[in-house]
Amino acid sequence: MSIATIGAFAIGEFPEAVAVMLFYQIGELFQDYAVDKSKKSIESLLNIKPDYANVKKNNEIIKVSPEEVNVGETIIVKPGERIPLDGTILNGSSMIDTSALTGESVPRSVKVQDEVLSGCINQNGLLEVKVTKKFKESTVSKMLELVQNASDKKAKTEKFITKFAKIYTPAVVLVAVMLAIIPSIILGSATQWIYRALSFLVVSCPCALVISIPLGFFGGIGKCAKEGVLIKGGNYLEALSKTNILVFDKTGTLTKGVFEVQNINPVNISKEELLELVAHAESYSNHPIANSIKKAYSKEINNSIISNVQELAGYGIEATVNEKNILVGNEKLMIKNDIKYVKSKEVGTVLYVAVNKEFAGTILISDEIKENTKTAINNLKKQYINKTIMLTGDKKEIAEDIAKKLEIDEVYSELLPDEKVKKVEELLSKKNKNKCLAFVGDGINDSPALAVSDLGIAMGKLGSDAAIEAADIVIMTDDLSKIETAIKISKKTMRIVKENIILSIAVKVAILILAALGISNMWHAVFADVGVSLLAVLNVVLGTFLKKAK
Amino acid sequence: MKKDIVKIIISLILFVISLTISFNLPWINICLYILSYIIVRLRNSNKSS
Repeated sequence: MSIATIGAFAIGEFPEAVAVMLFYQIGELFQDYAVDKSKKSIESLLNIKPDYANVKKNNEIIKVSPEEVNVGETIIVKPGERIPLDGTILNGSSMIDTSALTGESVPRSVKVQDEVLSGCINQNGLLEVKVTKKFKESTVSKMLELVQNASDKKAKTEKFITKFAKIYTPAVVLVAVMLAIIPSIILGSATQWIYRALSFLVVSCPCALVISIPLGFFGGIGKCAKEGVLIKGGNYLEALSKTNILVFDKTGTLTKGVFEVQNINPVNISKEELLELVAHAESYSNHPIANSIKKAYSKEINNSIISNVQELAGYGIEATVNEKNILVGNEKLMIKNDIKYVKSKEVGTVLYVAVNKEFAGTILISDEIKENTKTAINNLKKQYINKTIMLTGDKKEIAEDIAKKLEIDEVYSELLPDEKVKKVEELLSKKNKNKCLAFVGDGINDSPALAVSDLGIAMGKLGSDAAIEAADIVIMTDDLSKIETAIKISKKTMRIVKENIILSIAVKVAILILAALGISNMWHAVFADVGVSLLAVLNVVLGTFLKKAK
Repeated sequence: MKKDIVKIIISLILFVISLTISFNLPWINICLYILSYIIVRLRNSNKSS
């Protein structure tokens, strides 16, 4: 740009020289504004870093840096303060604002024994929290690290533009010099050829591409972060826009990952009485099934009416409750005790109950499908996804039941973690090369599959650290509908990027041809460069920052 | 950013004056163009491309 303007001064074209520089600087001003705005939207996420922690030591409260707090220490979080470290509530209840981490605008109610994440704001009550993770491993640190590293990983388009500019700019300067010298020597009228060369130089400037494309990706990542979806780089945003196959893990991803009583089928006894007897019989057990029964009963256990509790390994439990003999367990327990029972056809873990050696009914315990999973999958299939697949280590009948309820196209069950990876690799080899396959998971066992797929999406709230580390995208709310939002934003970002590439190249090529023919002048060149840059930046600003991608 | 906006506005005014008014002494127009150019080049966040 400097060469072009100084050249214009040299040949006495003063208005053009000033106009090129003036409009170029106006364009730069708009670009600075857009970059600032985009940076701010990402930096607003970085403001979640807590400044201090109130540590409780010997009934004294000491204000220290969150980095200095150890696991097991107790911290106090006052109303209005940011929770500095991940932990479990020992005392107090409150409403916490999780929007900075999850994008969820409705405050969450928390009480004793609930887990709280660093970065959230305590809105009203005083909380006493037992620290469960060091600051470096806390949610807020992980988020900051992910966001800060996001712009390092460039998308293919972005990489191409950077490389292209490195070669293109010196090449264009060389061509302009040749255009000024060679025809002047052969045909004469040097001033006219220098003027054409200068126009060529201005129009060839790649500013519109170099600035608007990284800005587009930057804006897309920032927009996703606002929605509670962390994207670890522009390349993953590009891959997300091409995703047409979604592979899901079952437990923790499609289902809650927590066993709950789904159905009680009493025989010659009331539902309440059956649950009460079973809850008392199971009260000494810490097995997840026993815990789910106790949770469903939800009343206080009267220990004085329980006696002779025996855990029968591989069968269940035998106990005396209120002077009644209670047998709770699997079918084998009923057969062993010669109890005539009715075989349950329900899918899940079925507990058979006998009271005084008489069959008293069954209790169905199974994992529960997350509330909005079905809607999220249906919306994804309607708009962006051609095929949904479920991979699980669970039993065939349970897997097929869940898949049927969620209308998942293909299901593969009873898979070990390495078999999941093999299955993902097999699916990858079969898919269309121009499209992407994304794996959605949460557990440590999903990490290899997350790493091997084109795109790994992890559930950030329930997910294990290993899964979050291996994934390319992290959904902070564990809400599958966020995948739809992220795909929408990624497609919009790619559309803006493509529009800017086509606009810049088309206008520049047209003006270049006109310049070579001597039809266009420096004013057209100024529009082709600065004008197009301005339009491209405005396209990003309007598309990404102003309209809501919902 | 604000200083840059002010510099661009001043430069733009000088440019428009020089472009629209033909002074009796042509070097005044040339001086205004050069002044406008220098002011706009003084922007803080100047990047060469």
